[in-house]
Amino acid sequence: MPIIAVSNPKGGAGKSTTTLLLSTYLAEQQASVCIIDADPQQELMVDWKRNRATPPKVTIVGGVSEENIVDVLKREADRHQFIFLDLEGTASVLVSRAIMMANYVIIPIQCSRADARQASKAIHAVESGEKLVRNFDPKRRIPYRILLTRTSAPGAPVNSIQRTIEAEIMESGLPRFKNNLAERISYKAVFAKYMTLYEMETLTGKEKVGNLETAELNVVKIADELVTDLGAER
Amino acid sequence: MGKSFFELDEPDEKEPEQEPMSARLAAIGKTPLLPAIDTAMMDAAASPFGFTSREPGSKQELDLEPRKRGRYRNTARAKAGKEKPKFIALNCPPALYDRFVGFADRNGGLTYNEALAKLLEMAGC
Repeated sequence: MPIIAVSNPKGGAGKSTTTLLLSTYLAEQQASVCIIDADPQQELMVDWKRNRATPPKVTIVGGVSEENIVDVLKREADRHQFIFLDLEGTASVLVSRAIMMANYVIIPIQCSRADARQASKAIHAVESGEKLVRNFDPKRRIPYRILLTRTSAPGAPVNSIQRTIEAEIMESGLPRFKNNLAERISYKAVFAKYMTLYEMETLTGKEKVGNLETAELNVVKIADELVTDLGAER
Repeated sequence: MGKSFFELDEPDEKEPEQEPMSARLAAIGKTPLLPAIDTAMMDAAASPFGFTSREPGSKQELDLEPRKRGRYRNTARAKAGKEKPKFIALNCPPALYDRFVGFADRNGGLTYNEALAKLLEMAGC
């Protein structure tokens, strides 16, 4: 039961979208998945679950606070194969405690200076957290990867800001996903329609959402990198 | 292996076939949880990077060691010199109380008089 934290202290970096897309994909592959909605201000995941017509394949847990995050993680990790932690967009104690309990951290950033700056806070928290937990378990690692979100779709023109930030990440040697999560209508529709990408395949007429196949392939590629990393950590 | 124009062996560019995703997921076994670490130690490790409590009223114990003498050298208490301190007590709505305590916590665990001094400074008084 790896705990996968999705964290960037800046709001709007794509944490909830990344969490929902990856977790629902793994659930489609018959994995037992739990999302812990650790953003008490917004509870987007809890809202998504509440507004659905049918219960989702993933378990969604809300009501998390600084005080109970450690206990909630321990409880749910015993029950599920994968735990995704959708963390709040602030530099809070809740976030840092969760990162230190995690087995893997995804740091989504949009291609902007503000996101990159805030992502460095998350990286520092992971690195200092890793040092701390190694005092208790010298073999323990908290690997992390940066995921660029809301980028141009593959094949579309890439703007200069994205090019610059990608070049800087490469130059700095920071670990990142080779695949980006592109900006797509279907990812917004997941929240607007309270459905997964796979459930939206059944929609017809005016309700139909375009380019689902490409959107799904994008998620599969990122999930493939994640699962490869998790497999290597075993 | 394929043959090139010069009839030399070349590696095939086919990627090795992977197991189906469901099998790969099933193979990821139990990852041990970290041993129980005191949350105060976790918070102390993250505090230098700006990770502070955001929940009003939950003052974090960030210091691992007891406060030392001289800690207040640059604080409002010290700035007030050796004057005899005066006492303020006020009743206020719980929401306002929570905001004030939350402000003190978010600013590195200020004492209440330090927090009051900071608010006055921010207001330009």
